[in-house]
Amino acid sequence: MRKQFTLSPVAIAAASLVSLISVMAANPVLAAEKAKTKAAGKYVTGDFHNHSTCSDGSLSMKKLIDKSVKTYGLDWFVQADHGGSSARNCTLSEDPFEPVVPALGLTNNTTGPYGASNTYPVGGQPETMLKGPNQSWESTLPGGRAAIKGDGTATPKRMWRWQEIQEFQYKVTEDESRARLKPIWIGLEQNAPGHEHVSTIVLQGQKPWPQTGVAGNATLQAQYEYCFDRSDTDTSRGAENQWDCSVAASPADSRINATARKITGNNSTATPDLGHAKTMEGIKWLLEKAPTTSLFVPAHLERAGAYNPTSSRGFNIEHLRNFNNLAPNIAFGFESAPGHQAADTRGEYAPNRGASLANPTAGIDSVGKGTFGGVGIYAARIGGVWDALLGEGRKWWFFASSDYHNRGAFGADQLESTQDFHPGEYQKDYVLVRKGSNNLTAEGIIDGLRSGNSWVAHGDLIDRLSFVACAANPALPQKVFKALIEKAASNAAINNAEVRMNGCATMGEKLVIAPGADVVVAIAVRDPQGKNYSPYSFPNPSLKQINITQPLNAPVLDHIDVIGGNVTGFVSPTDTAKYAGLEGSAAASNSTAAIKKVFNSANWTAAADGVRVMSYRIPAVKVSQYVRLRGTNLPASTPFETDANGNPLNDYDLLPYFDPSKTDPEQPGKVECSDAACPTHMRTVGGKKYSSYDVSAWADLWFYSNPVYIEVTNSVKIAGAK
Amino acid sequence: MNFKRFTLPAIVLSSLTALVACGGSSTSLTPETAAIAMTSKLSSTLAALNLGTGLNSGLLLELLDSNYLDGGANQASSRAVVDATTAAISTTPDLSFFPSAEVTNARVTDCDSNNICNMTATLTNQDTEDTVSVEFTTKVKIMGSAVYLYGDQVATAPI
Repeated sequence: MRKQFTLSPVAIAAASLVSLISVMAANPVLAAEKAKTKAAGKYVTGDFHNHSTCSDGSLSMKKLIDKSVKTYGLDWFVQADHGGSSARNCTLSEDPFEPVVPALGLTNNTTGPYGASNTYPVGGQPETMLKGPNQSWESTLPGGRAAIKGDGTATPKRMWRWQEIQEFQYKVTEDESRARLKPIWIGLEQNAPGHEHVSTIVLQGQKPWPQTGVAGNATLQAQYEYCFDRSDTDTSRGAENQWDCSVAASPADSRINATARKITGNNSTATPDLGHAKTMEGIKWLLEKAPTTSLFVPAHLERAGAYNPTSSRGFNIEHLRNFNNLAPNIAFGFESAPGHQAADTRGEYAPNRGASLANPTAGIDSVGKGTFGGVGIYAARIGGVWDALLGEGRKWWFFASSDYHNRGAFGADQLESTQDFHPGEYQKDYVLVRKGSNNLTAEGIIDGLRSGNSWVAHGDLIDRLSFVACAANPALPQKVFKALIEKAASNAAINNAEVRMNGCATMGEKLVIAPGADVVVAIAVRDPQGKNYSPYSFPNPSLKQINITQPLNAPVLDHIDVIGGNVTGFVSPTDTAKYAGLEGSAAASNSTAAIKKVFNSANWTAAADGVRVMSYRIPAVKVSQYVRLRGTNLPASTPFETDANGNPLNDYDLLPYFDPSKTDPEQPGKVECSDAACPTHMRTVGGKKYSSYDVSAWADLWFYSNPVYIEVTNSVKIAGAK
Repeated sequence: MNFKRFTLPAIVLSSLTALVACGGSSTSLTPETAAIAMTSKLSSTLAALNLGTGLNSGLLLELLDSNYLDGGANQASSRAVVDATTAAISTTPDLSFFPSAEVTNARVTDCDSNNICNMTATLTNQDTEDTVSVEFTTKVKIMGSAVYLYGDQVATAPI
């Protein structure tokens, strides 16, 4: 029989006192006090992968930075050109720096200078004007050719990227950062040996704002490029630097070239997998030199096709596992939301990629043969590569980049694009930085990226997200607890912050519970009420198919999917059947991943300021698992965009395209752009104008969150999250 | 010290208030005294469940009515969750406990013939400076000199 709790004053006082003493006298249990250990933070926007004329971009360093942090308002920015060499001097700014106010309908001019209606042509200011960043190093350095170090015989002589970074680009970056009062620093899009590209950062030595005083340097970033970029074939050891690329973890490495003091080979028929091995050595080097201030994030990793041991193609899941096993605090994610979102094949992903009329079948299939809602198949397919990695409990996070090079047929100040979007214009990384009342720092941003407390959005579909999983309190009725947690999520979204509450975990974290406990997942997003950066106000052609009239520059969040999967622990590299495999294989799949819940206007609470709040309860949790989110402006079953379950369809199949293997290579698209305001640059086939390039990207918007892990005490331990 | 800063004054104040209200005898609760009693009991239970050292499923015997039913959860299943968490403490240093909150401004109204009433109160979490506060309404049952949470009496879990 139950003992009744009476209101006897003695009983109350005694109960209260016992409770009080027992709690106060106890040793602190740190796990329960997790909230207090987390300094207050805010989500800030940035991008870590974009190009200047120091590789194959079209803008100066200064103009690229200006577009990023001024025009498009990013809070932080990392400039990252390819490794290798370049003849062009990206430290020279365009003249004039801002030729015209960005607007629709500006015309290109092939020569300049430019009248009121003109802008720079494709590729930027012509070198023939003897101004701007397309001029060569050789013609603009006071020392001319002699000032360009290392190997090389071309005219004009090309400068190795290590010299560009160390002696020229870093200074511009630091000056811009300190003048603009924002963390801006330099990275490298590594041409990774054995693979395609990897976004890398070695922050050590750099001193962007808010640092002041003595200038910093990017010597370690430059050395990393010399040592580990497959396109850097210089053997000078960085001239007077006399670098040695050996790593302590691989003593007496016989693969190192005696002259260059680096591994000079790559994947080839004679040396299969050597390139991948060299890339792994690079990660070991990062571990030794900058274990807490570096990152290694494979970029557009499906684009170049599956991994090939005898050439430099893409990444299979085993390579991602290799990277993460070696250095989980450096190799902790991927850019499965690639740049080039306005290109003729979105993200530059395609089947038979690289084929031409001369060699109509010589191309390589991107993995997935296209992007899916602008995202590579590794992250876009539920139960695919990303879910397989999360299903191991790995620290493996989702990022986006703009990968800006140029705007295709348009100049840098025009608003249309047939190739890339400027950083901050279309897709952004939102990362939580714990800075308290201090300034935002580059170190804090890298810590935030590493934490997994971040998310990605296209076209400002949402601009706030709070996502939390909490152990349901058995002392509170369910509706009461739900109200508390939803309010916490709502407050956090309004304040652009996270939920900090004991017994709750947010993105990149794990909630540790006993078996059988319920978990409440709460989500708050803000669908911004203004316009995004799209220059088009005509109705979204994809939505028009289903009789929804919605301006392209004012998208509305249609729904959010909560995706979940079980965690079964790390796969051993010796278990090759489970460790290594192509997209779609057992090794690259998580069969437990599925959409667990769909939220839309019917079951979320909408506030006037655009905040949408929702939650659901996972009852009696028995196994370790994770939950993550995606959302879009497109309802399920939008023709050619989403399937009946709301999954994104292949963008390549929607767009008009050029297939050199066909008798009539020009193939029509699927979604007509029939509004009178559809711009003239849309691809037209058979007299019909199709949604393509930037319009098709603005029409199809998504956001992706990183996961929240839930660890059950008698189930699998989740190693990748705290 | 990891004790919530609100718990000490809340418990002491509510204890003293109860002492004055009841005059030292075990009489039947009025709605007013029931609100005071539930404020104290719920706040202290929530505080205890938020700390490994305070976990004790027996607390739920004092808080939840024997016929408590809420979205499929009853007194036994709720206690089982606490027991499982208690059992995991010694082996799981990073165990998460249950989010806590202070109860204030409680009012008990609309009691029916079975002494089942509505309680409206404010729930406030102050784990950090990001204070979270919501008003809620739930069912309580007054039994003589005690008051218990009664739940929504729904036998199925919400979808």
